[in-house]
Amino acid sequence: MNDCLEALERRIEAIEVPRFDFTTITARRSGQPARQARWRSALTIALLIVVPALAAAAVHFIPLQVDHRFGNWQLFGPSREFTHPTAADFSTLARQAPYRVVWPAGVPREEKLMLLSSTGNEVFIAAYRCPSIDLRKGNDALSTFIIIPKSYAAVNPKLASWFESQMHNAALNTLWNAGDESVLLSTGCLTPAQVDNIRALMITAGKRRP
Amino acid sequence: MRLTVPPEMVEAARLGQRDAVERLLEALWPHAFRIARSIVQDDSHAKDAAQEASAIIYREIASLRSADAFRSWAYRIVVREAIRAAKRNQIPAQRAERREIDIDARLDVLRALARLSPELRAVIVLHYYARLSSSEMGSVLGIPGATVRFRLVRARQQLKDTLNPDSAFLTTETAG
Repeated sequence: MNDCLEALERRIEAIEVPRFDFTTITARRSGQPARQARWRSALTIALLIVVPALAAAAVHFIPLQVDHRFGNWQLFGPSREFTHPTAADFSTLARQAPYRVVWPAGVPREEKLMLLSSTGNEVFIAAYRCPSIDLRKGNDALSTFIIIPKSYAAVNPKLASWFESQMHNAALNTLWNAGDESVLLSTGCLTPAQVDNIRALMITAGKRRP
Repeated sequence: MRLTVPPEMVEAARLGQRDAVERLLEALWPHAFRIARSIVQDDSHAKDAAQEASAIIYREIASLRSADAFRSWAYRIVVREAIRAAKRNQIPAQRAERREIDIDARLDVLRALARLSPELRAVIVLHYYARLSSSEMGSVLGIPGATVRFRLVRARQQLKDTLNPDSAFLTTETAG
């Protein structure tokens, strides 16, 4: 047995080695590490699926309030559900936002606003629930807006451009610029016509800003 | 066979000198490929794993703290990529059935190695080919030295079962 194991070194030593190819290695070196790609995919999933789902679940239990703790701000729905938010609701929150926000105007009136939230001055998320759909049956019932201010792109251009490229690559999402913000929308239940209408209204609203 | 590279070559590579990196990777290449081949058990996948490991080393060598740590660090990357390739390509860790031990495996220690899991192949190769100590292997594999020794015992026992037909048949007949 020991002899065999000692012979292992000779056997491995006898393995024929292919030619060393530095050009290929150099080319691979500049490629994106697979692990990094996996992390980015996980982050995308978290932002597009998990966050709105958790937000939707929470809104049934938390009364309407603006929460400034932990450097974040959130507008929660009432126990009767935060449906049909008024212009006053939007403007209240907009005044307290750390950056100017182009609101997701033009969303069909029958839509229900599930949650408005932001992480510091980075990313704003608004999730709309499609009418007559049970959220527990899946995330297709959500249309999610992610609004990234240009100030964030200046602070973290790498992540901001990654965000944009990810959304460009996603088949069910759409991206446009409105005023000071980039707007990402996972369309969910919205029809192409509704998406076009929302985009036009938001771009117009963005242009009106001083 | 122990890998030896001049510390000044590693140092120059750390500083980003392309020629030094090329010479360093060329010196590492036969070791990287043979270790990967022993773990992956397939030429094509082993070449792919060794190239990927070399690319990672090239990309991250600037972060290496000292030239002395190069060998363990490089082996860690090679072994990690090889184990990953072995698992990705579903090279089965065949636990030999007592009555179905093939003759080739009895005769050839390299083929017997293929019957172990990728993790156990790694400890055998690092110990008997790369000639690393338990603590060095622990550093390469990211596990405590005691775990390395335990894996080594298990790997040798499984190899022994494959390579020693008498004990295998004896066990079978006793069991049967």
